[in-house]
Amino acid sequence: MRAAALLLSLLAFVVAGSALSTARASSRDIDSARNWSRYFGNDQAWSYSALDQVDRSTVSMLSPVWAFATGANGLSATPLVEDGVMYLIAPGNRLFALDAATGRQIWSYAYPIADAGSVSRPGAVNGVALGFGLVFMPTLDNHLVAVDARTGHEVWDVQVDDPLQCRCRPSFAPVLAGDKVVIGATGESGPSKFIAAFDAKTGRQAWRFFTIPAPGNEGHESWAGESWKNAGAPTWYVGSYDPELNLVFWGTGNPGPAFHGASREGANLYSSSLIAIDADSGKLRWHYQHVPHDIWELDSSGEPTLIDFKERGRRIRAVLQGNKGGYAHLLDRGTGKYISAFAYADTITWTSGLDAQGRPRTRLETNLDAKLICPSGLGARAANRASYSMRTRFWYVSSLETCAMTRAVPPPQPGAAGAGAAQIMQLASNSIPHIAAYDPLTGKRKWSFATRGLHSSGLLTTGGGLMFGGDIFGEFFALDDETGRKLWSFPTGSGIVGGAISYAVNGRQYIAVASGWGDNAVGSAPAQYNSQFYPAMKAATPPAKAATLFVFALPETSR
Amino acid sequence: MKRWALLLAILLPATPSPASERGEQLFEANCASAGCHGPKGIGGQGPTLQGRGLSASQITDVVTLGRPGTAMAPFKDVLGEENLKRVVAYVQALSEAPAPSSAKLTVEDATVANGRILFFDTRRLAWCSACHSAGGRGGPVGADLAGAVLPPGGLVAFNGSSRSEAFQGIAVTLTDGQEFTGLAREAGDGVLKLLDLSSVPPVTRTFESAQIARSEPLKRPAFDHRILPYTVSDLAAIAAFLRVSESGK
Repeated sequence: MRAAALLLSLLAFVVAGSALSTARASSRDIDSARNWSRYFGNDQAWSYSALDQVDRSTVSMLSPVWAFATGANGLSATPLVEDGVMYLIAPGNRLFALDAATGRQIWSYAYPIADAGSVSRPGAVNGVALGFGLVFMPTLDNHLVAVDARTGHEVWDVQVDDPLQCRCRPSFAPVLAGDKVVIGATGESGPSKFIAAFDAKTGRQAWRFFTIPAPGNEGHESWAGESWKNAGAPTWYVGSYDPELNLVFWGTGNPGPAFHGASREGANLYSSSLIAIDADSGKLRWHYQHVPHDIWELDSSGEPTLIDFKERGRRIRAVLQGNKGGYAHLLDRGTGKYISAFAYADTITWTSGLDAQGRPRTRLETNLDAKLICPSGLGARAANRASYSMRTRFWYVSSLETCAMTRAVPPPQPGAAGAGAAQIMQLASNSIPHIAAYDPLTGKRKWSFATRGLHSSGLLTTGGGLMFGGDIFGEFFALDDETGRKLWSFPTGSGIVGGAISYAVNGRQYIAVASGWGDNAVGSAPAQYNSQFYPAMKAATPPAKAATLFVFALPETSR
Repeated sequence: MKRWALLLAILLPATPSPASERGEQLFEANCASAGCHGPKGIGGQGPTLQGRGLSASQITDVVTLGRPGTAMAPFKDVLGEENLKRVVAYVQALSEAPAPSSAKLTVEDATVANGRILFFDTRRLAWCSACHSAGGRGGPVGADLAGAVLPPGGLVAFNGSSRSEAFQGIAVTLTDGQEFTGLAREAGDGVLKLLDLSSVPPVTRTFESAQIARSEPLKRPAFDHRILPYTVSDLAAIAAFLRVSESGK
């Protein structure tokens, strides 16, 4: 049996070797694409690696080469890799530096929490940023800490905000923008959330942009009465950066209370919007509000993906972003001007469509009687990142296809925190959860792949013609990026709610993914619905708890 | 499955009281702590749960699944099915109780409430809590101001009055030429922790002794409070808040 398997893999190697010898990247190409030093792989938030050693012909030989167990319960982090060293954040404010080729631990850092009362738990921060020889790590008690990437020693530590007062904490990775580290905040109620920038070398605050304008500022008139004071408008996910325009792009979440819009008449700027901030001054350059006066929890939290294309010989610098309402918008990223939009969710009922400026056609009014709304407040997608492939120029995104019977509930008193709604979740009746590939310029769907359960992991595309994803039952898989056909999979044993990355060390390509269902898992919320939606899957739900990073590569002999 | 949820919603309010006692313990351990929903669900970083009129199925949904994008995490795996039901029953009981009376809210009158907001207001160029604490919250750089009785217009006059050694500022020069005002925090193992006060919020910076060229005591206050961007009425509100605040340390 083993001899036969060996023979088969040898045969596969021979076939792969002959067919692809010309398509292989040279070792210099491998070297230039070796790092994954940003949360989304690059400043533009593509979640794409140009590495192509693992490709459609060789992927069948992809095998685990090392694994690292954090010892915690749940792992939804995206690791970073720079020059052969991997940086992985784990629940409980722990940070590991690992040899990216072997998994050997180089150092570990634990941030002590002096003030345990301020920490919301369970919870986790799902990524770090890298630059200037430092690892920038957000903590559960709302500090931002810089750690020496070589030694693991603390260099600076600043409190971003008091978690009890701001009703916020960081949940995802900061973004490096030039010489600054920029970080967002969770919390759809309480005082206005913000993105804050700190000098990367010293930790000194450079600026802080609030997502709800204070009295006297432009946009403040979009809030009735005192409603602006407790409406949150969080910045809980991760932004992107254009060094040429020197702009930081960040998506904002829904205003609070999420569903009871009558408590906050007006457009509610800058909630459910994409904002572009000058990286030096912290001033708003432009904004585009996808859902004015959002009453369906339709965060514009998705990563702003920066893509360039040519139109009649002219270079268009665009930004593509998927809103939780199921539409993806393409805007001019220098001006915020609307270019086009397309639906990436199959079932959308909250609006009858979009107008010529990409805004919802249906007037959004507080809805006190139960009504079926699709997508539900879970969104067509939320934290699980999409991917843009430079190879195919397609955009790969998942859609949960859920709906909810929703009824707005007035808050007990003005300013009280809470969603202001009752929701009963269900699957959309005429569509299924899936991953699909789109041409972002035309909105044309290239293929669709039905996911097992509600897909909760981030997506990765590579120069090898592959798209990687993982499901909540622990299957890590590779699809053909042009057809959506499944080419390879590996059972990791626990739910996958992080996102895969690819990197290279000494000319060898690696693929890494966090596997770890548990208390701290992002995306576990949608996934928890599986036992309700799919009785047949109940035996497998919930997936086993774990927290392991798996790393894969081709066998040494086959390269 | 929907029928099951409905059944649960009907059954839960009838849960016997021993379960709800256990529910209260579980609530205090998992939901009240960490500054989230507060003791008996009075609220904190998370929303108040008293008098909300929430149904068992609403509560079950949120406790089970969490609320994505907020600090509310799914508790299904944390609590397990039985304990989750107990917590839901307890929260529903809280939720049916009368809403916290507005009388309680007026204890913290409007001026005090405004003062609290101003004290913690990160929109300001420099906000008090970046350095000072009150009511057990805030920074460890300056004095704990809980219970401080200050003349309303007189906060600014306090500038430079801190002469205690704990707040003795130092002028630091690094070997790379950087200069800043700081406070020494702790030393040991060849490293020195300094609070860099040259911007707000202050930054705790760690240096190897070899990185520091020079440090000497400041002859002026470590922080010039005259730059504070507060009006006289702002300061009066902050003083009102401080007077009634308690030290939580």
